[in-house]
Amino acid sequence: MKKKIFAILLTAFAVAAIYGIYQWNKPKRTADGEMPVDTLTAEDIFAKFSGDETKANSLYLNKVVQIYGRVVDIDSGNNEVVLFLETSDILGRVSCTLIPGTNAEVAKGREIAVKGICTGFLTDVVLTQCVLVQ
Amino acid sequence: MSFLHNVSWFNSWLKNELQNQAQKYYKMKKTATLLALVLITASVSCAQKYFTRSGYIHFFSTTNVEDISADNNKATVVLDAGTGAVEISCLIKAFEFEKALMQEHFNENYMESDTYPKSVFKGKVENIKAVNFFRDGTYSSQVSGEIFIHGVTKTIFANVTFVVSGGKIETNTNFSVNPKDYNITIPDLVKNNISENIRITVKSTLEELKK
Repeated sequence: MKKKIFAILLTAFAVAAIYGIYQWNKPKRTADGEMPVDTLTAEDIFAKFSGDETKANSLYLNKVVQIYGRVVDIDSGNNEVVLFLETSDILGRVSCTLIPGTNAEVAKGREIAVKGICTGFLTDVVLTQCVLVQ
Repeated sequence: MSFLHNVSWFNSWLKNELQNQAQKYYKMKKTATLLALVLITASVSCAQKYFTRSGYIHFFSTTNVEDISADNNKATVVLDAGTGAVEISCLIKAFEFEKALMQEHFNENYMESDTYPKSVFKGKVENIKAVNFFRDGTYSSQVSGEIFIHGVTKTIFANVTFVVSGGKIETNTNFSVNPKDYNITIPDLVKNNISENIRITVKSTLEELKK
């Protein structure tokens, strides 16, 4: 009887430990492999955020979206690649930071489709942990 | 009769004179308005704005138990070289931690970034005139203003350095915050893991904002 209780306790402890280690080391969430909640153009998502930020936040914040747009600028400092998609606003863009380590061969001026986690709106609509969609 | 004649002459003279004066006055007013407009436009174009959308914000918490840090390099910084007005905004969800779990706790339990997705600082650089944005060099100043974190607005002060080089301006500043001041409650269980004196560093390379 004592042995049985000991075995149960030991198993419970092992399960908890494994779960704990898994939680501690779990990988970061990326847009890769997640279905987008919406597919729209850079122009459209920018218009939604600049029009009514609160409403756009409730629709897209922390969710994966797929965006179509033309690359106007690429920033590859800070060990990451950020693609900026064009909108009709002078300053506003959709900024897409690719998953670290992504080797993106994208040229300025190209039309692309990109999937990313929407993190909110500053002068740009910001997407992080993005992945290019073929 | 001649008296009446005189009166009507006087009346028409007065009318003319008044009209002339009024015309002169309007002309003057028009010139003054034009002049003011020119001056305003000139001063606006002189007061150059500097901007970046890739400002870097780093925070660091150290205790006996552990060190926690996070980076965000998507902050927007706008500096008005004429008035010294400065505005920095960043998205809470854009802070990257080493561990996914830490990032999750930071967003969900502490910063509640679904409710408060961004933090903003609006302030002013003291004595901005002492910084020559057209001459390469290093300049030190102070900045003060209001910072908005987790729904709470507080006044902060900090030292700031500007390094002007080839038309670009590198800024560097740091200050400390206490989570308690911003209504961020830390559970007793992890109280010893998170410092009450979190060091925040803000660095940016600003470029002239072209309209």
